[in-house]
Amino acid sequence: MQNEKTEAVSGWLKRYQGVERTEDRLTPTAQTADVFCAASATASIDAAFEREPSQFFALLHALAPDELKK
Amino acid sequence: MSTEITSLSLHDVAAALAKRQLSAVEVTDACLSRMQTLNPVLDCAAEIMAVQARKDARAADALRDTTDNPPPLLGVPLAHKDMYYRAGRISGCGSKIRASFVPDHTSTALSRLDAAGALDIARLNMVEFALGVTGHNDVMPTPKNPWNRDHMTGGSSSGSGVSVAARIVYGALGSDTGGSIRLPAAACGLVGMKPTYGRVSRYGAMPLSHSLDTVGPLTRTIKDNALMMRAISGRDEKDPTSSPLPVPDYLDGIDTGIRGLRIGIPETYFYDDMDPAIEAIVRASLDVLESLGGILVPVKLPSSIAVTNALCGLMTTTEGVALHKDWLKNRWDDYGKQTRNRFSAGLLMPASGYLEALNGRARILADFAAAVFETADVLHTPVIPIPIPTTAQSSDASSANFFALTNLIGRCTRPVNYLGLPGLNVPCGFTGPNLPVSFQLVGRPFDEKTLYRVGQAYETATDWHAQSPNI
Repeated sequence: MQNEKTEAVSGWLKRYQGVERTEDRLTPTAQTADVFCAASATASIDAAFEREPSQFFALLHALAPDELKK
Repeated sequence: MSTEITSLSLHDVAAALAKRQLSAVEVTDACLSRMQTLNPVLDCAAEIMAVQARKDARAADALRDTTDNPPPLLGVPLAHKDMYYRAGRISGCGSKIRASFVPDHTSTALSRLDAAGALDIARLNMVEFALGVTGHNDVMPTPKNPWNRDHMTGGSSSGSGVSVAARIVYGALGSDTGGSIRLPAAACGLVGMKPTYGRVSRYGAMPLSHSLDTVGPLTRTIKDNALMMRAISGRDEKDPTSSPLPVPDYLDGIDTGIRGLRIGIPETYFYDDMDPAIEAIVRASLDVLESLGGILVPVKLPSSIAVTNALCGLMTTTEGVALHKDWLKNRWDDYGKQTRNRFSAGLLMPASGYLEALNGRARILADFAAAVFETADVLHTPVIPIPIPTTAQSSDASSANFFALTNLIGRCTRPVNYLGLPGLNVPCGFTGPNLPVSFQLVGRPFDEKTLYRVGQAYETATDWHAQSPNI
């Protein structure tokens, strides 16, 4: 059950916030809705500084010709 | 003689200057003379800087006499859309509101062209605040299409398209948020490059939509365009959204042809709602590319392509209104009707819709790239799917069909902005009363070089680029 909750949280964060969180950072958030919301808000704030949520610009660069990335 | 000088391509005039067959003063005089003669007819320039241009031309000639390694565009007269800031000089942005705005810094694109030795001889008219696809401006002069003055120039880089097509200057910067380089290039029979998002610094360029705005050149030939792009591309610490990826030499290998290159033909969306005469001309360009060794590949686009036109428009007006809301409140009457109506639409967009449009980009780009670039090296599409509308059709915002018309004009260009990809406009013929027709090449991110190679192969096999308007 714990794993399912963790997976759900992980999937939600990845899809809507564009961030991936390791299990040890997610497990506590799978306990209650309050904790989950707080953790997700924190993840959102972190994400804003780490990368833009949809990872659009990262994908543009990933799709660039290989010779430019050497 | 002066018409012969102004009819040269940028590439050829730069070569003539390098060989001292022409001086920068001669070339600049020829361009200024043509501009002063034609501007009253075509309304392409907001200001001609004749005194400064001649001073800069003398300095360019002097520099050539004293250096063994002159910069590549030394002494070549250019002029740019009036939204590229130059410290101490007015940048009016096609508006009443900014008519006397004097920036305190210079845009990176202009600084890089300065460093390449180019001369900046005029501020070019544009659509008010770069928001509009037809070229029409309610508050400042609307430039006239040199091919047929009864028809629109396309926008928003209208003065850029007109000045280059009329053989007044050799190239001009435009900006492209939803088609504003490619549409005037298409309507005026020019080459226009909308680069990958992040390829060219936007520092010091008037912002409209920070998620979509791009900076690029309009020129008469592919090589001219590649020369300007080489000068302006690359990382700029002053623009954090500019890419750190290295800039290839766009001219290197440009003449190597396209044998074996896969050219994708979209099976859906881009050819919907097309005028049959325009479609025939655009499809004929595919025959030329195939005859040059290109391999034509049908491409099934993901269904999400159909929403990208609308999502691009939503993002433009929403981000635009965030910049303009104070002026809309305090200086409503100083806006043209079309502009304030377009910006006002942004006030009605729900924040959730805007965020959805923004966050959907990566998923839609991933689907598009998988469908197109695993099958083809470039995608070939139409640009303006109908004959160039008349100025009357494209100016009357009260007409019931006006929204449908502007939506149709940008139908093939806006998706490319939403996806952040490079798009190159290439002239491929004429229709009706002397109206240019073009096709668009869309490439994978940061692969402008392949687009130039395909465009160059097509241009070498045809002579559309060599035709000039009879003004």
